[in-house]
Amino acid sequence: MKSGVQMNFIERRARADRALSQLVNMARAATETLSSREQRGVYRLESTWAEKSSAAPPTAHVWIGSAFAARWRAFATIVLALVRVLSTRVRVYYQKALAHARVLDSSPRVRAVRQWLRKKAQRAHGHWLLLASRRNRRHTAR
Amino acid sequence: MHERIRLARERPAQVKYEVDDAELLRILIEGHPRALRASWLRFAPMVHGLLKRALGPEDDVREPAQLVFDRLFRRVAELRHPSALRPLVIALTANIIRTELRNRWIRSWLRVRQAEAAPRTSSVPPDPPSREALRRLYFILDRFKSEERIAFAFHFLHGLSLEEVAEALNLSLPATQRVLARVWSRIVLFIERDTALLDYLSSVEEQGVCA
Repeated sequence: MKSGVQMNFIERRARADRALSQLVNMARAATETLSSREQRGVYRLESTWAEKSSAAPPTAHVWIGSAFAARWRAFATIVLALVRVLSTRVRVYYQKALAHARVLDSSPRVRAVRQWLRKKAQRAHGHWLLLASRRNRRHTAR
Repeated sequence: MHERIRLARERPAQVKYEVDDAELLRILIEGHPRALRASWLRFAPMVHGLLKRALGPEDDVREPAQLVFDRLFRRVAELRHPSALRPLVIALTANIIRTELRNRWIRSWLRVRQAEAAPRTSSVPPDPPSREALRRLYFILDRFKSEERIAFAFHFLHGLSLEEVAEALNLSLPATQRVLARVWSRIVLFIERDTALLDYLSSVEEQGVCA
């Protein structure tokens, strides 16, 4: 026996499943035919291949120029990507370090160490006070 | 009169360019002038359909389609069996789609916007709600890996068989089945959360049932 919430969930999931089927049918119908521009693609293909087959082999100058440009483009893309990655990473690490420092500041171990140090200081201070009072008493006795 | 002239022009063309796979492979390898047009007539509808369904109906797929045929002509000499021609075209289309999706991701990542092509009225549904519904489907598909997106588009949207999808993606049959099941269930989850889309599609379904 399923509860109302379970029934609602199952019903909703089934509805979404039917909706996706509907959407798939719509997507199929939307891209059914070739447009006239797409049909004309064969002329472009033929002219491209005619040019390729009739073209003389590229001269060294053109080849070097194109290869040079392509290399520069690739280099610029890589540098841009690296800059972006590094800047993001640096920002993330800085934020993480800040958060870590905050957590460390309030961690029990650090608190315990601080308390111990404070106690030590108080004790030392107390000891010093005691010495001072004895000294004072000695002074007054004189 | 004009109709008769048109038919007279078309009839020999159809006879000339309709060849079987073995003949097509032979003339492609030989570099016959008929090969370009024959292969285009045979595979262009499929290639355009696959590209549009994987990339989205509003994308201009003419350039990727040219690339598919360009690669086909370069690599066709490697083929030995004519039956492998269609799988090769599908695999090349999948590769081009993968490259296109990767380029799109890089452009969005580097915040470089590509010039938008004019919307193609032939393949986009005319009514705004269904266009919006399709846009949301492709928005959901943008969140998937390219392999998953290609598998979904090829199998569910284009209707390729499981074997063909597996071959195109270089996966085993069970792996392809798992990928498809996973993608379907995840898209269902996304649609379930999109109340407006769910309501619209339910209303379309009810109208269909009523009609």
